[in-house]
Amino acid sequence: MKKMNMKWLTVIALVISLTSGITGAMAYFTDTTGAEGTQVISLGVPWVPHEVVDDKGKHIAIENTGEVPLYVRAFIIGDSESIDGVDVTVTPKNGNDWFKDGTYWYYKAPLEPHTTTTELFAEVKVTGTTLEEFNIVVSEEATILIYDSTKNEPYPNGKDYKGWNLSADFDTSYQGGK
Amino acid sequence: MKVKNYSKLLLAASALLLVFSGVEGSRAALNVTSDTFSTQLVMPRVGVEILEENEKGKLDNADGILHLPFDEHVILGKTYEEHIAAENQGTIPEYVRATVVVYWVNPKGEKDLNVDPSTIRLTFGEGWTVNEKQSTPERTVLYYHKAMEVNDSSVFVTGILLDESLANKCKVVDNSDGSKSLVYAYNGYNVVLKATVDCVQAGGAMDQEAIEANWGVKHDDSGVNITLCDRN
Repeated sequence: MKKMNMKWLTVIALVISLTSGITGAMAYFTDTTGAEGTQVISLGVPWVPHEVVDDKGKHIAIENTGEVPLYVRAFIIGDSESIDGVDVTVTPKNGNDWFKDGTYWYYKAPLEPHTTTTELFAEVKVTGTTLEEFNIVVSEEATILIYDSTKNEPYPNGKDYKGWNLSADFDTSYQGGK
Repeated sequence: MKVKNYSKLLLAASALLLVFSGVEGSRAALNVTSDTFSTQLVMPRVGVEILEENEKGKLDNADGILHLPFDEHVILGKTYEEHIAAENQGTIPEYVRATVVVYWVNPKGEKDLNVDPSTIRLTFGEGWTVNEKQSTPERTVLYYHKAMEVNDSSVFVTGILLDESLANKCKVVDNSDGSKSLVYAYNGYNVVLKATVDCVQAGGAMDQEAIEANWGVKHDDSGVNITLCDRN
């Protein structure tokens, strides 16, 4: 028993002797600091259609009443057709602002907040002999402007624009991201 | 018997070593006499701060608050410039690590784990290495590649964008006037951006050990190039 105590005393004494000089090397100066920011986002598409009818046809424009740029488009029933002795011809007042892609007319540039498109004119020409009443039906649409993140510029407007092909479903779990 | 003698000898040697290691100073004091000497001891100080670029394009102390570069009318997919930097405001060179956290808070004020945090995308500055092993979609850990000199700074976040896919979750609702509207699921959500920087003193012979001891990573994994900043 005495022999065992002597052994342990020896080991402990050696450990204390050998490690007493190395504690200082384990300490380093460090520092840390933090900052935080938050921002609410507003996603919405507020806009107003403007339609004026005269004896020649309908004058169409769209106003962005929101705070973010939008893309807009319009569909005119009977466009480039002859119905019941009536020809409907759609032309942009300023030739390059609107372009037709498929069945819709697309406003080429992003519609900035609180601005209105130039005019799209749906002209009516009567080719038949009798006409009592004719309705020019226009469907206007708007969607938010989305950037192509790889180029950091807007996707071009047109029938292939992502904003016109959104999957509209609130209830499924989110699947987006990288 | 031999073992006992050997142990006794070792014990005696250890006791002597321990006793004399403590009295060396006393012996020196007895043997050396000198005039009174006084001096000012300046302790080295490490200090790191977060800077953010202000409206005039100058980096200022963030003082705990970051200002995101867009208002509520943000454009999805667009990269907005956001410059966040770390600066060595200490008195010695130091190694610097930055941790950036992003996530969404719903309109009720609750952190929303159902919205993928990787839809808040950041771009990072030159000279910083992302440690993929320590990073998640919510947290990115970056290491500055060398010891940062006193008063030097480096931008670790350069831009932020909200992924365009956020627009996908929406629905069409009928208005009372017969028109239809698009309603987006994430309207009214909050983007949260948090940044933390921490530093470890540099310039000693124990640089690698300091990084490993404080950050739990081998210096090779951290992206810090020890050989570049070896000051010996």
